[in-house]
Amino acid sequence: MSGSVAPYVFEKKRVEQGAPVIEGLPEVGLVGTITAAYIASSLGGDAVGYIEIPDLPPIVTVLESRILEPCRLYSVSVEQRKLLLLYSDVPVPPRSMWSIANSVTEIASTIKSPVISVGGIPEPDRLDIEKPKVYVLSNDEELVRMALATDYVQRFENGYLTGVKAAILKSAAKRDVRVLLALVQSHMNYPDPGAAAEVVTFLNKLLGMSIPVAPLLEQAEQLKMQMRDLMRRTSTNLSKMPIGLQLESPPGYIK
Amino acid sequence: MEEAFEEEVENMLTHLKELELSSRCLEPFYELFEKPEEYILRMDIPGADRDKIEVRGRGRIISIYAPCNYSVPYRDGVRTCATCYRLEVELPADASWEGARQRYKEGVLEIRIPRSVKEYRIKIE
Repeated sequence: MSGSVAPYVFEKKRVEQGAPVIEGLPEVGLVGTITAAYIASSLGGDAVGYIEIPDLPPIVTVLESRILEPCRLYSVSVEQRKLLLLYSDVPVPPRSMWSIANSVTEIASTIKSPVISVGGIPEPDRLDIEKPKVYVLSNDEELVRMALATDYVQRFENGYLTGVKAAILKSAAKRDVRVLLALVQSHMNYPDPGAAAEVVTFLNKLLGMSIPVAPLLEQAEQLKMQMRDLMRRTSTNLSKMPIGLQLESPPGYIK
Repeated sequence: MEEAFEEEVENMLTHLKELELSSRCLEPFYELFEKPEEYILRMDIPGADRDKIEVRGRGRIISIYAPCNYSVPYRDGVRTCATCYRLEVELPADASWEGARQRYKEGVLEIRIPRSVKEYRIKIE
């Protein structure tokens, strides 16, 4: 199962070689989804492809009378830089995670790009945290160095990762794709636009962009309402995963 | 087995959505945490009118009613609307209303309910 690749289509001519692939699939606090949706809508992204989620029944998204695949790739231009964003209107079922991760790394390998995978890390005391911390992890020391040079993030040192992000890290190793994970402290079962704003700020610093975060924070409550149905489905999905592992510490080494 | 479970979940989600659409009342996402000295009930009620949130305790049932202005795009330019959040949760027997307190922050309502059962410390000799 871990070797299968979900079918995907993208217009190579409209995607720049080397453009970072920002993966923002629905997981903890919908942080990745909010981040990807906000960047795509504030910069006027064009849908340039899609990934077919294998284990779903037939579903299409209809937006302003346009028929779309639920899991889409958007190309956005920002200050002489291009990004490829991965966004989904539906959560990825656990049994499709491997194949979706393989598609992501295959796409990144084809366009010789790094993957920047963004999301939330569950924080039970999130309500008391004004400014959630962003943690980074990478299979490439140069990417970690660049991320830490922003002075905005900390290195992810100990813990577990589950779900699509874990699958992307494993899949990337097989295809020699560089991956940077940016995970922010977040509500687990509520959409968390405040946490997504921290990720956007980090991406601004990392990629030399200046996407304003104020509009995202201003419409936070409306966004939370808009994302309710997706959050409910995502939480149902997460309950099938060992998501509690993300709150645990590995036993570690015995010295 | 897995298919039966998924069918059950899908039915539950559909039923919940139908109920929300017909009643125009939303059931908030919530979590109940148990701590040694209190219970913490948290729920996500974005868009609620802070000054009109009602929290009532009756027996072991805590009821929350919060008027809201919920509206998101739907078919034919229509918007799905709701007028309130409503939730009832049964608390464990040792929950005590005395000293219960609440706060509303960034769309999340948190209610802390003390536990009445006193704990005794037993000395280890």
